[in-house]
Amino acid sequence: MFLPDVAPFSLPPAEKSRYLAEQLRRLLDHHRQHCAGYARLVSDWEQHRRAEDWSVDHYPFIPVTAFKEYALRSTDNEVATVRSSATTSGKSSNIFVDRSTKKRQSLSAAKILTDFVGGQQRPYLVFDVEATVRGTESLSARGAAILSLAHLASEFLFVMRDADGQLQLDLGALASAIEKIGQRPFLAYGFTYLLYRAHQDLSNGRTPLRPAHPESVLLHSGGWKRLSELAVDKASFNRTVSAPWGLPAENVIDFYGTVEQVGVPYPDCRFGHKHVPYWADVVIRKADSLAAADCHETGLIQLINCLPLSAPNHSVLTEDLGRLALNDGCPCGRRGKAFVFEGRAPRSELRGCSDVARY
Amino acid sequence: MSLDIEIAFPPAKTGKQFAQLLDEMGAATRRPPNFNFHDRLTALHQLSDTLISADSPYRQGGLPGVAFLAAFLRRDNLEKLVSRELRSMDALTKFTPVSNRKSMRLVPKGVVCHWIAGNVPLLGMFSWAVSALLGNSNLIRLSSRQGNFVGPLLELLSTLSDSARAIAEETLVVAFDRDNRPAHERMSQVADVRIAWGAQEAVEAIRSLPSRWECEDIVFGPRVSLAVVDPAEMASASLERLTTDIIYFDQMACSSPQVLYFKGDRQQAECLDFLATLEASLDRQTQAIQRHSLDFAETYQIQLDRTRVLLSGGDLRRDEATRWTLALLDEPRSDVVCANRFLQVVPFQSLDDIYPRIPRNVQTVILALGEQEAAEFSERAACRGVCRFPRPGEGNHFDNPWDGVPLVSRLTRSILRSDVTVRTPASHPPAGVETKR
Repeated sequence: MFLPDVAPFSLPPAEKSRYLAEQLRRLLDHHRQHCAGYARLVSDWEQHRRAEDWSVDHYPFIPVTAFKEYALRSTDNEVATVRSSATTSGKSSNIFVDRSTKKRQSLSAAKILTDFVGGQQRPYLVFDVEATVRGTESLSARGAAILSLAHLASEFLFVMRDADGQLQLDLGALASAIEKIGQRPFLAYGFTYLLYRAHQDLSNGRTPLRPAHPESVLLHSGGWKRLSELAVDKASFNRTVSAPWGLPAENVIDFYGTVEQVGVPYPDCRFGHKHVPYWADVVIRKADSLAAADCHETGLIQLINCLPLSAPNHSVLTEDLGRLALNDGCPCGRRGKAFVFEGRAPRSELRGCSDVARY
Repeated sequence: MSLDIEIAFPPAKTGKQFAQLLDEMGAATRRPPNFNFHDRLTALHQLSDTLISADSPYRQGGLPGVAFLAAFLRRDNLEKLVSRELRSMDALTKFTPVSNRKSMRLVPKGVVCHWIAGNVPLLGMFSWAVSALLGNSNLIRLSSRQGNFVGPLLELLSTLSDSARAIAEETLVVAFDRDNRPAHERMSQVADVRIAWGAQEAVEAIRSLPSRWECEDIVFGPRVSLAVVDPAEMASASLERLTTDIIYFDQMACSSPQVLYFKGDRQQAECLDFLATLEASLDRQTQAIQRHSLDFAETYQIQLDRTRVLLSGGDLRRDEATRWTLALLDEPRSDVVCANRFLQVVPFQSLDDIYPRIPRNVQTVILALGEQEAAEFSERAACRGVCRFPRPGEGNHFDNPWDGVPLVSRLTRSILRSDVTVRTPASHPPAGVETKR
């Protein structure tokens, strides 16, 4: 699936479209043959599709909520499940991942993140507990995100502890990790809220840190909802997280990703854009019609990638909002579409005096 | 203390304090109304004429459902829905004998406060019209999500005649934020009747407001509606009217059908014809009658519900985008939301299949069955909570009673008088027989 000697963000848009059309056609056939539910969806889509149009704008997609309600799988092989964190519905997505898909996901994440932070292995400071990545049958979204950086880790250094169900910074573990890191550049990762909470504790000055190597990078992902409630914006977040290490704010990198699309993280480039590798695509869909939106128009984010073989999560409609910033030509040098994530779509207003049936 | 309330109508009162206006309104209701029931009937009929006149700005579709309101305000219609409840309409204008020594008079209840639903604002105008017809003063609170659509209607009314102006002047329209509890409380405390339209959260919030002990509540709360049809009993015109019932108000009205039960089998030729005709009708009407612009969550919901239908073994008939959806299922699904022109279609062999599937929050069942089946079904379904059984095309016609509530008796006080003179039986109307004016 991966093209030899082709960097993730180097294909010109026309070449990428040709490549994706073929890959996505094959993937659709694969899942249709192996997942009865998906076959029903494709059959409905075929009744309304434009003849032989394999462009991503017209490619079928599954709303992510369906993965919370239906066990969609395209393999009889042994699988692990990746679970989303709790949401307002109280249900979590279950994505089935077999060995070959997992391998593709790991390779994909490695290629993308290497493009952003370099391929050199370094100590990996994890603002979480080790239990989050344990277990072979099931993995949470946090666990999947932590492991998406594993290929860059020379060693894992977990620096939080579980105190009655609440994760807290473990100052002893942190001091020991810093000692092990020494003067080397490191990589750090934490879920957005956890990373912020930990660095709030560090920024009170009671635990002074020695300046980090300037090539150290702190990555984070996950929702901003709790931080928005605390009126924390991106600039103050970056300052809070970078300052205790004596690093510039641009060494803090936010990446967007979902459990339905593990293996394709979307880090911000230095111009604030998220870039799409050649084996993935993003379509922004308009409210009301779900037609593909133009550049700069806010819409629901549809995520597509060619990795999944064990479940039909290769094309999903998220409940997130975003907008295309560029179709090509970001000054950072990465080719193709660049988009901006704008948060979760707000819930609908109430529905007049109509209701749902109550039995 | 300022309650942060905007007086949306009448404009002349915008300088006054809300509390002062409420006091004036309360005092006015203690005096005999300046215009009687018949004057008011005429005034509302004039408003109807004006709404549908060739030069009416409302004819161009500026306010969804205005045609329903205009039809509702016709003299014949209003007379019918009032007389349905009364043995004698004379009691609305004078003491009227009800037995050989007793007379009865119906007088307005007083101040009627209306909390209008956010997404179907016009529904509140129906309760306003009945209340105003019966001589009450009305206080209408617009939802914070609405523009002031009531003010221009009342402006128009006030120009039509003296009695029409009086009705307009007896109406106060206010706007304030949904979280402005002091304003809600002040409004509630002045009410002789509180009418709450809306979703569960909204009507429960209104009912929790403090009110005077004698205040009466009328709650038009969240409900769902169905249609039960026998394709053999449906002419194509009837099916077109059923489609209008489904798509009008984008299924946000409690009277909008969400599930259609049809007699037969999905594979029968007759039923396939019926579904094909329904599909064509939906496609045609959803292009002709504009829907509100869906927000992101509503749009996502349609896609999700279509996916749920397919993944649970149902079939879809739909347009290419999100304009309309027919979900063909063997059982109705409660997790499929059925909003914005999304209809579940379920076959039945026997009426007995339907009774257990009638939800407890049901309101309307539109019926297109043969006479015997319609009689059998309505008898049993009424006991399961159904409030009305209109024919196709009448689904969204506001009527009396509504939600099982007889409005005239709830919006008037019934006064009994023992008369000085004993009448002979022939000089008063026998009980249960309607007396025409």
